[in-house]
Amino acid sequence: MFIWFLASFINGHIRRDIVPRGADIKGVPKDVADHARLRFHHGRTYGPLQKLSYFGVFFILFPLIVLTGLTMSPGINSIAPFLLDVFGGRQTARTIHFVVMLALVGFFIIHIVMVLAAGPLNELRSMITGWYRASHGTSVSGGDKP
Amino acid sequence: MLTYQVQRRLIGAQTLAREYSPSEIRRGQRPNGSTNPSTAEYSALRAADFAHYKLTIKGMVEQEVSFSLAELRNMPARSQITRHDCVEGWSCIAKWTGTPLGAILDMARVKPEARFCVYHCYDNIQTSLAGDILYYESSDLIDAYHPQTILAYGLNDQTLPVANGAPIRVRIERALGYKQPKYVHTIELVDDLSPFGQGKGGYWPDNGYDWYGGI
Repeated sequence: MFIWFLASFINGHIRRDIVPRGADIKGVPKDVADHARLRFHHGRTYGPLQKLSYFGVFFILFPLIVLTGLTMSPGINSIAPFLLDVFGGRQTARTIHFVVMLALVGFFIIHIVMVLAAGPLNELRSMITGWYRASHGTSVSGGDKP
Repeated sequence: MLTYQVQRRLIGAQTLAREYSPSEIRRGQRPNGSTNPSTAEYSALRAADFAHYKLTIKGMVEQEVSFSLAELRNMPARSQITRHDCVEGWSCIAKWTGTPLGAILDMARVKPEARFCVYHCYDNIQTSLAGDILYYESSDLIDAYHPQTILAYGLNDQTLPVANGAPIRVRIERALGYKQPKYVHTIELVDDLSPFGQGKGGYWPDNGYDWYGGI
């Protein structure tokens, strides 16, 4: 995962596809409404909700679960006692760790459900090959090409 | 084992566990594991208020030594308010008073080939068909000589209660609670942990826990 992070920083995947922009934030209400009606858009880029959840998982939940996990280690406490102060002690770190675990499990379930709902074959092909069949009406620049 | 290697490289041998202020002691030290050993040997010692208790340092040492509880209490002491972290998840802050183990090991003059301390205990943590299984634990010499590693005989300014390991409990402050053996009677210096118990270096490690315990 660390290698993936490093590679994605270097090749721009994170900057280009993961970090939400102004337009994504503006698009959230419409995206929420579309999801509620089970109308999914298959574009070349990630949708607003998708970007927000990926960003949350990569930059909030993953670091939090690792750091709160380290805070619970008596060995690490000796070399990095500031972690105890950051998270308000071992037991608070433990509570945060648990809540973040629930959030990650929730993300995992929704993530898998969405893959199935969005057409599992098309999604799996795009993960492996980069080729993806977009919705009708998707502009050429935002279309099938990887 | 990987965690052990990484932490030993990352964390200095003398790096201290955090010490707390007296106001952070919120409750008595929660007893766990064995709280009332029932072996005949321990019951007899307890009945005499541990007057006949001896702590023995043996194995790979130049000179085997033994100390009574009074002798241990008369040695230079160290008190520390530290957090006890149980593998079950809870923690508890308490004040521990005892004799630094390093000084005692030096009196026995540990041989250079020794690699581990094995802590033999009185308590029968488990009773099986084959008889009592006695608690034991072990640590490397870095933890044994750590400045906060003490043979505790005092807890929160009182004599260490039976439930918490009387008369002597080892405190290894950078590890989980199961690495703090209670009711210790012998410390054996060895270069190999395989002859003890099921060979994993401790009662709980024999049952699948990590040996290092510093997570």
